[in-house]
Amino acid sequence: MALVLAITRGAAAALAPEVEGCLNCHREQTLELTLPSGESRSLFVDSQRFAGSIHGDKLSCGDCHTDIEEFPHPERTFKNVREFALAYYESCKRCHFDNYTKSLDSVHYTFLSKGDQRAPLCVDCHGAHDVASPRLPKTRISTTCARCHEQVYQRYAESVHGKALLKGANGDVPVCTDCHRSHDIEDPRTASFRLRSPEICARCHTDETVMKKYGLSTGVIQSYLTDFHGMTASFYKQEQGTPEALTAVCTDCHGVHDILAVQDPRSSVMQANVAKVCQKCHPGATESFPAAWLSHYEPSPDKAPLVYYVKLFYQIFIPFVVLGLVLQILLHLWRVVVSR
Amino acid sequence: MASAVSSTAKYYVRIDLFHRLVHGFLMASFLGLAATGLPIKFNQAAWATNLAHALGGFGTVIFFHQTFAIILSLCFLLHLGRILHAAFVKGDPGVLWGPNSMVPQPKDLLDMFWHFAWFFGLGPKPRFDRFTYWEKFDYWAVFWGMAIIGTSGYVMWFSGFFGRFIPGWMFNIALLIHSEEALLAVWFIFTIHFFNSHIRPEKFPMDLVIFTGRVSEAELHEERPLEYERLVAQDGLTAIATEPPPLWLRNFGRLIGFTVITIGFILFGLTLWAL
Repeated sequence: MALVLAITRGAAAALAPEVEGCLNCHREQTLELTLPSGESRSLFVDSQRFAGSIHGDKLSCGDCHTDIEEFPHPERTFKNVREFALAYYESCKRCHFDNYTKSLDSVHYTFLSKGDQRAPLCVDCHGAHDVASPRLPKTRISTTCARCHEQVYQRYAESVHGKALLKGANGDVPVCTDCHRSHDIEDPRTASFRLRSPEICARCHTDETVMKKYGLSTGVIQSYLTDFHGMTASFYKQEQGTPEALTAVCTDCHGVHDILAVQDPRSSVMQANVAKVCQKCHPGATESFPAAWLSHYEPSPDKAPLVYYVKLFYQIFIPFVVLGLVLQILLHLWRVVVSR
Repeated sequence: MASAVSSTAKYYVRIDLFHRLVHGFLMASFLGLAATGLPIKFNQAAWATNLAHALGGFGTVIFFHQTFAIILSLCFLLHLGRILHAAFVKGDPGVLWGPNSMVPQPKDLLDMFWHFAWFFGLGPKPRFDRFTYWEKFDYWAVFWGMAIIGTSGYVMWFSGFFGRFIPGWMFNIALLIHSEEALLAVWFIFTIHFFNSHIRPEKFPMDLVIFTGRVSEAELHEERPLEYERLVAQDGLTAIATEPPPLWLRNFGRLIGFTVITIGFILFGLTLWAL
C-alpha cells in the first residue's frame, strides 16, 4: 500500500481537535489488530501523512469513519484485512458521488459484485489517509495500475508511449486512464470497446498542436475512415447490440499496449511485417495484398498516384457527362416550349 | 402528351414479354442496389445511418446489396446470352447491326447532330427508327455500368480469392470505380433516364410501354416514322398487331412506375444532400 508520495505542501495543515482525540491511541506505531484470518492489521495513523494529504485540512476522522461516534468505540470485527477495506467502500461517495456511481459501471465493480474481493476499491488506487491529487505526477497513474496489471505495464513500458512517459516524463502520451478511463473502466474485450478505439486514438492523433511536436500526421483517422476497414467500423459502431463480424481497428494493426513507432523495425506495421498483420484476418493474403492499404496516405501524385488520377478522372468525367446530358434535356424542353 | 387509349385504335407490340420481365428485374435490383449502396457510400451522413438501421443494420444492408447484385448479374448474363444466341445460334445478325440493333449506327450520329440542330431551330426534327440515339446511350450506359460496377463489386466481395491474382492496389481502384460509377449510374437513371423516358413533355407523366409493351399506331408513326414505314413496306405490321393494353395492365404499370420514380427521386435527393 505504501505510496511514494511527492507531496510538497509546505507546512502541514493544523489538525482538527477531533483528529487529535483519535490520535491519542492511533499515533501508537505498534497498535495493531489480529484478525480471524490470522492476518494482522496495523492501526497506526501517521498524522503527518494525513495532514499532508489532500484531505488534511478538510476532513476529520469521523467524516470517513462514520460508524465511530464515541470514545471508546466498539470493537471492530472483520474476518480478514480485505473486509476491513471493503467496509469503507461507501465512505467516499458522501463527497465523490459522481465518481462513486461511475465506479459502479466499471469492470472492476463487476468482479467485485461477483464476489471477487481482489478488485480495487477507491482506497486501493487513491490511498486512504494519504490521498493525493491523482494526476500528479502523471507517471503515478500507470504505476498504480501496474500493481495489479504488471504484465500489461511491462508491455506498455516498452511501447512508444510508455517509453516517452517513463524515460522522458512526457505528459503528451496516454497513460492507462486516458484510454481506459479511471472510474467507469469498461471491459476492453468487448466489441463495442474495440469499435470505439479509433475515437480514443483520435483524441490525440487529430490534435494539431500535439502531433506537430512529433511530426505526426493528423490525417490518420480520416484516411482510416475512408478506407475499407474504417467505413465498416463506423457502420458497426452504430449498430444496436454487439455485431459478431468485426473489422480492423487501430489496435489490430498497431498493437495495443505494445505500440511501436512505425519507423521501428520491430513495428508490426513496418512495410516488411505488414503482410503478417493482414494475414490475421485475411488468411492466405499474398505479399502484394497489403498494397490495398494506402498506409494512411491521402492519394496524391506522389502517394498512390493511380488512385489519385482515377479519382481525378471521375471528378471531371462525372460532372461533364451529367452536365452534357442535362443540357440535352434543357435544349429539348426549350425547343418543345418554343414550338408550341 | 401520351395519347389516350381508344378501343378502335390499332396497337402493336414494341417490347416483348421477355424484355419487359428482364427490365422489371433490372429495375427492382437496381433500385435495391441503390438503396443499399448509397448508405454505404455516404455513411458519414445521418440519413445513411438511419436508412441502414431501417433496413436492419449494416450486415443486412450488405446482404441485400449482394443479393440484388446477383439478381442484376443474372439479368445481365441472360440478356447477353440471348443476344449471342440470336446472333450466332439462330444466325440473326440483326441484333448486332442494323435498325433493330442496339449497336450505334452512323445514322445515330447524324440523328444526334440534327436533333441538336432542331433544338436550335436550324432544321426539322430528325425522323427516328426503332431506337433513338439517346435510347441507345441509355442502353450502353447501363450495359457498361453493369460490367464495370459488377466486376469491381465482385473483386471486393471476394477479395481473398482475387487477392491471389491481382496486386493489392487494385482493390483501391475497384472501390473507387465501384463507388464513382455507381453514383453516376444513380444520377443518370434517376434524372436523365426518367426524364427522357417519362417526364419529357411528349411522354408526361409516364410512358407505359415498358409495362404494357404496346404502342398505338399513331404513336409508332409519330415517334418512329422510319420503323413504321419499314414495317409497312415489309408487311410486318400484322405480325406485331395486338389488342389495346387492358386497364389493369396500365394501372399496374402506373403503380410500379410512380413508386419507382418516387423512390428514385428521393434517393437522388439524398445523394445531393450528402455531397
